[in-house]
Amino acid sequence: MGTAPIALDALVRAIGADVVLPPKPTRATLELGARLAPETICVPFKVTLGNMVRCLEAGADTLVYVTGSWSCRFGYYGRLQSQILRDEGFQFRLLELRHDRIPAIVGEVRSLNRGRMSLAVINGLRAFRIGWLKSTAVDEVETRFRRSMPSALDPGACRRLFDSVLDELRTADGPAAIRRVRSSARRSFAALPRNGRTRTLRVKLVGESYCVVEPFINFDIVARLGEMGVLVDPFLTAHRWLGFHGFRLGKSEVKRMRKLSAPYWRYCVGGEDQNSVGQLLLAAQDGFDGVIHLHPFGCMPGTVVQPTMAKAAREADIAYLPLSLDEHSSETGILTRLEAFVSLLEKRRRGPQSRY
Amino acid sequence: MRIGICRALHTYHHYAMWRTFFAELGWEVVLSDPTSRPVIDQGVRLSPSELCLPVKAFLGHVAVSMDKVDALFLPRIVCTRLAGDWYFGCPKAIALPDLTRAVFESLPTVVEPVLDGNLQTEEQAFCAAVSRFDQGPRLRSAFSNARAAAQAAARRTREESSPLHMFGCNRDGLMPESGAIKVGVVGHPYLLFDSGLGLDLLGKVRKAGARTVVVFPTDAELEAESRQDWALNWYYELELLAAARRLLEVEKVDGLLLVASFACGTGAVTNELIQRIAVHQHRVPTVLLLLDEHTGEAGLVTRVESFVDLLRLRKR
Repeated sequence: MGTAPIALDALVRAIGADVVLPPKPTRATLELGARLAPETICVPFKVTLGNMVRCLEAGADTLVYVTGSWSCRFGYYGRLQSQILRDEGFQFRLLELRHDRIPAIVGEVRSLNRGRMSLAVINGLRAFRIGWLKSTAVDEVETRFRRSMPSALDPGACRRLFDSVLDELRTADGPAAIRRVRSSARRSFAALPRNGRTRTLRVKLVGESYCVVEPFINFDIVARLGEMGVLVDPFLTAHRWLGFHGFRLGKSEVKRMRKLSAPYWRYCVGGEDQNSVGQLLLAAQDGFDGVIHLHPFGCMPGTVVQPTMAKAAREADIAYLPLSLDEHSSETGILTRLEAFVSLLEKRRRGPQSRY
Repeated sequence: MRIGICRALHTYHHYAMWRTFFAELGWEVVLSDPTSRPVIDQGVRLSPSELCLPVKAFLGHVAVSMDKVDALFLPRIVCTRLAGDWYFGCPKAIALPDLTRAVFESLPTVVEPVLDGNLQTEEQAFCAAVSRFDQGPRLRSAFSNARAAAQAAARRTREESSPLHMFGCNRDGLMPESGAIKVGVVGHPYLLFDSGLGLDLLGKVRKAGARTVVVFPTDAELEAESRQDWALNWYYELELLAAARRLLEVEKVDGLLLVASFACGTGAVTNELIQRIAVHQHRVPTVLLLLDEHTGEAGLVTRVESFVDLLRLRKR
């Protein structure tokens, strides 16, 4: 999921397990997942299923799932995917991360540390520390990348720099190394030649978590809009998705979103619906030029929230573009719509007389 | 007071109770007419294209009935209690009042009970929803009468194999006596028994020369299903799973016909599970028919006929 594996990989390794990371999702991974998955399930299911096949082929023997029961389909990914994989003849052990299975999870961590609880606790704390450090570093670099992109003279160079810094972070093996990468990244991004653009358009990215965080599924929307000179601010990043942000922010932001969205949306059903409505209204207050709402095709909350988003956008007077993504979405189609949206935003900026 | 109830979605499950409740309060209940092509078209025009057909039809029903009533009944069915635990409705059903408010500029008074087994009981929800209009002990007695009516309807449902006696369907319409091939049909009542959405699928199966079997699970069956490892947490999908299990294990059907609407989110999970159970555990063929506003009758007939032919060949 986007850059989340960089921190997760370090975290789980520090606990004492061996990690098999799937290669970056590709068209082939998605097609593999789509072939095995139910036809009308949402696209994150298909990508993750494809990823799991790749992991199992690479020798993984345990799959770890976050499961639970919501009204959203995400709670059933584990059940369905493991059944599909077993029917395909794969053999693996299943570890569920569920609130009523905490003893089993603790036991698992303990057995990874030769059955010694003290070692497990120490390694667990060390794991969280390294995971947190890496995740914070990735988040900082991502923010720099997003901010530099619209004003970079050569967006390609900016992108290459971003990729190389992520590679360095992936291999950084301790707090000191992470610190070194961070400060060198700060200097490199600051040294990028600028194109002199002063008034950049600002777009808020909201919607379903996977679509917002995974560049493969959203056609790298942050970078593509950056190339068009638009500053993109996703409401969710890999860092925040992992929950590391929550340690500092607490629940206050969730409460704020609930309050903001209350006139339009009174019950959170999943798929970040409440957050999306709240963030849209917040973006309008903060003077953003537009909001892009990403969701997987057929996503239940993502679909049903659309009229509400449109109504809220109308009333808050902010431009709004919903994009539905699945294995049939074409990059060209998405790019055309983004280009049209950006020129609409430019028109809106110029003032009411030139609008539409 | 004239209260409008849409003939769509959960109405097919709970109409007996809802009607009794409002009738006890002395309100006039106006049930919208059976789904027709204009209703579907209106719903399709109003909704985002990705919504499932029953929700689109629901919006169509709201559009045609909102001018004829003083109040509109828009329940928010979040969860249902079963054996001490709670089970969710589908996200679209939970968000239905928000969706309706976003789609329509103006609506009549909305009576919106929040059926949230977790936070408040059904009685509290209903009483709170109408407390603006009526208060006191009359409300509570109306509710207990409504619940009794619902239980009676549920009993009748089991006896007559149809939840739709209140809509004028009878046993003959559902259970033909002849035919050597038994086809179990699994689908939500609001799709299967809605003349406008379901395109008389049951009739088509019978015309192809097979017997249709539709079952409605009892509470005991639902509880048994909920105790399965990693059980579904959607109440109305649990019903489908329990129905499929009875069709496979007790009725010993020759084939399973699954009916769902296109872009039904919960159906994508449930039907996959049912198909895997039927094929891997019982060696029973299945076919999944997805319905939407573009579904043509001719295409449906062809698929039903070929499925029945396949079952006939297998039986020989």
